[in-house]
Amino acid sequence: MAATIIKAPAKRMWAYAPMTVLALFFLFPIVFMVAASLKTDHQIFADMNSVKAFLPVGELSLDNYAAVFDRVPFWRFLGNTLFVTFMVTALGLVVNSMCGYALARMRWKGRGLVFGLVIATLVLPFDTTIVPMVYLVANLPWIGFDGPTPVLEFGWLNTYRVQIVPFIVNAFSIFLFAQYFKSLPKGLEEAAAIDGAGWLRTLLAHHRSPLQARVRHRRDPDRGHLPGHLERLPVAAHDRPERRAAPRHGRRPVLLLARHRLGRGDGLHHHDHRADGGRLPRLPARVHPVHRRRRHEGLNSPH
Amino acid sequence: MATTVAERTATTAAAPPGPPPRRRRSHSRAEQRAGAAFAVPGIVLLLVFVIGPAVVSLVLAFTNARLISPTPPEFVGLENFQRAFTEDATFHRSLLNTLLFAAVVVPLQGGLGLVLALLVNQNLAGRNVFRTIFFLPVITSMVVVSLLWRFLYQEDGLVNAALSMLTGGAWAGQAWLANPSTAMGAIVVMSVWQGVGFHMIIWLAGLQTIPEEVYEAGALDGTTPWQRFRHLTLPLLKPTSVFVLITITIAAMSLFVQVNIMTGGGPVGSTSTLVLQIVQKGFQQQQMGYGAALSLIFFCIVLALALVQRRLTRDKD
Repeated sequence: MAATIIKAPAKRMWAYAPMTVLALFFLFPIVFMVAASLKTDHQIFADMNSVKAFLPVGELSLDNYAAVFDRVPFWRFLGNTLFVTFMVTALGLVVNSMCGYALARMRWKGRGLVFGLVIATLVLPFDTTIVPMVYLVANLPWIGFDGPTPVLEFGWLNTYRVQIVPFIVNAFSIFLFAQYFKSLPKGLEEAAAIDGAGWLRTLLAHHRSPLQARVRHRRDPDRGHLPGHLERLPVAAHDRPERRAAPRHGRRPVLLLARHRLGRGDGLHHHDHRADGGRLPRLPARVHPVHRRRRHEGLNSPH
Repeated sequence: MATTVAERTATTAAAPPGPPPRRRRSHSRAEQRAGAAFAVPGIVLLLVFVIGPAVVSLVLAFTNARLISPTPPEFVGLENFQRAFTEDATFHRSLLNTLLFAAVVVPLQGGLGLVLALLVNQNLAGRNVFRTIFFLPVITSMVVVSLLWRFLYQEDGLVNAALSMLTGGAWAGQAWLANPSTAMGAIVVMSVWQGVGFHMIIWLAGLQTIPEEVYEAGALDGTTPWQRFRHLTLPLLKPTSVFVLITITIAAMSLFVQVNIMTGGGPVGSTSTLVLQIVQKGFQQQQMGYGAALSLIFFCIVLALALVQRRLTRDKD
């Protein structure tokens, strides 16, 4: 025992040696890039043969950065990038989550076929469809405006829409959303339905926070106690399979954990953003009484 | 049950604000309609922009379609495939290059990723700093990285300067990307440098699902660290390794950006790849039909490799 304790610091030092060498390998081009961005071309090549290549030494200036704005319409480029990224992300979130929700949670004709198609496109590399994609977008119709009158145009090339619309749908994203919605307990949605939320409102509630949604719908001072199966709902949220993974740091005191988690205004999902969020042990049903009390104090009261 | 609760709620709550409670679970036709409506935007976009082009690609592969052409495309049967396999020397070279690249990069990147993950999975101070450093190239755009490394690989670039320093001036220096025998190797090194951080994260996620108790039990049985790695870590990482293998293979087979920016396929075709050929034939030379045929060949190879890997790594029991 004593031997291992004495050995430990030396062992630690050795663990850092390969990591440091590798870190240098991963950093050198980036450090070089940063240092070179402050130098003139002449200075860069003069410093190449020594460690000065990585250091901000010699003739330094921010001229290269100023030149970025002179040589290219930088703000326009940045604006284009942000606009396209924002649109693809925002529209993708709407379209893919709706499709994933329909596949995971609703019964309709052709659901199996569509799910099969989504899976099939997962293995389709983007590179195999680029050739006909160009052919297609060059001929797609669009309603444009000639002054106030709408006109039917053909051809999407050199437009914003050609950079956005084809990339909204993402089979992988649909698949991930479907998996996530499948992992939520169905009882939660039944509660939402009973409280009068339509499909769209239920889905929106999922986006806000799966648990808060249900709690918000149930905040009705006239109603008093709810039927038993609704009372159990927040516990059921812990039946999500990703929370079922074996705890790494041994079992935590469950009741304590329940207080800790349920006593927060933002509900159970507080932990989703932590690095080890998925690994916390799930709450077994036996914490029910404690939890019931805490829920009324915690989730419904403003913090 | 649901119905009675909803009715009771509606009567006791005395005209609550908002829409009246709907009993949608019992109305499967409403669910049918809502389900289809939810899925339709996704399905339409998927059909138009993914499945549609894939089918068109399949059809175009058997025609002589050109991007801008006065004559309509004609059906030419297997002529495109015949041309690819028997006449097109650049395609042969590209196929060989791509397979070679994948054969080197898959074990190298997968293995180095695992080594990095094991290193940063130790309980050491500052491990998050190292995780960040190893991940840094991944969040840098491939285009930026390619331009940077093209500069580093120049004859008077940093790589030669470093080698010359390490060998005490014995290294003469060469333009790595201009030499047919070193260009591909240079791209391999740069690609692994850029991509390995991502797979380190995947391996790390796999490592962290292994409970500590397994290692404690192993230590109690008097195993060496190597035995614990070989007989506990590796078997428990199997699901992760399947994912890592398949994603690296697909990414390696799709090699394009680096080559397009750093060498353009040269010198003398030594770094030309399948996707580069698809783009060059399909767009720059506007031979859509031939480009589509190459796409189809590419897809079949990727699919076959993925299926073979899936079979090889499947659980025996």
